[in-house]
Amino acid sequence: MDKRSVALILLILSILTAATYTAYHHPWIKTSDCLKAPEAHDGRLVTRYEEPVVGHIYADGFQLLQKNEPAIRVYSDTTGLRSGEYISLTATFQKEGYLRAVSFRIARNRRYKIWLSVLPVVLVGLGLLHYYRIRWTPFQIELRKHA
Amino acid sequence: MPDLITHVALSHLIRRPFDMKKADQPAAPLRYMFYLGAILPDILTRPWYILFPATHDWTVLFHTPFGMILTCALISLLLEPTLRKRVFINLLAGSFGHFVLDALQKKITGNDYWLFPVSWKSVGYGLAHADQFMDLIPVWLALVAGLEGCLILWARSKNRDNGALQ
Repeated sequence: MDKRSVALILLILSILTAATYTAYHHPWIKTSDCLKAPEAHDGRLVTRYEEPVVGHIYADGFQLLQKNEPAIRVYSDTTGLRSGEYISLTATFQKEGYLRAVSFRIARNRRYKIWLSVLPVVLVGLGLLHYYRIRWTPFQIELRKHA
Repeated sequence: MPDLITHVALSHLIRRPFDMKKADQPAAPLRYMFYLGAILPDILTRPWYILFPATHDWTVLFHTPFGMILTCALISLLLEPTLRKRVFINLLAGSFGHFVLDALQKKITGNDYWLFPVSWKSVGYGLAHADQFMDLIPVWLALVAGLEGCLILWARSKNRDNGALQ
């Protein structure tokens, strides 16, 4: 096995090890973790949500909707809130099964931002395809002749 | 994080003037590696956890300088030997530019894990929110157009001077 192959294998193993570490030893908690053990998470700060969106708005807060996570009631100021908008939120979990907002901000135009970000990815991708080509045996990316 | 148009436009403004120094080497291919570096932390993380939120905890590594050092080294090893060092430098510089720009963003929740794996402390020094960066896209694009215009004029005057000398 040549040096390059060994280096590639070591790098892939390092990335997999580090990714496993981030998956199991991160500091954040999710609302589902809190709801599974409410007493243990009482008063804990929740900063990580899965695509959080404002659901129904009440006089004293709102319902937080997430992908793959249960909906949860958030008590907060409702100024500027709009149903259906993405939101950035930091909140403390209460053992009764709700969140109390510490700070939040509506992520204005987030959908627009996601679609707008596709354009530079396509342009950079086309640029790379224009200047580089793949040689399969041995596998290697190299400059095209005109580059 | 600011949008990727902001990332690429600012990367262009930073990287493009460096090409003028080394006229004997092909510049654009390496510049595109710098742009790739500038978008790499986001394209290796965001699409996955927007579509599949559960992947966040696995992919967050790629939005850290440590993760980017490993990833840029991996990518540069896929290139022909004569390019590896320069591609690695351009990819890594682009991705570090990405982190500096991200750190300028105000955040409600931390996402600048510069010290990973030593610490999970988020070290952002927010100046503006993501949507405020988006409002400035026309400004970045105008600056890119202005820079390109200046470079064209500079190249023409240089050619004219060279012609006068001959």
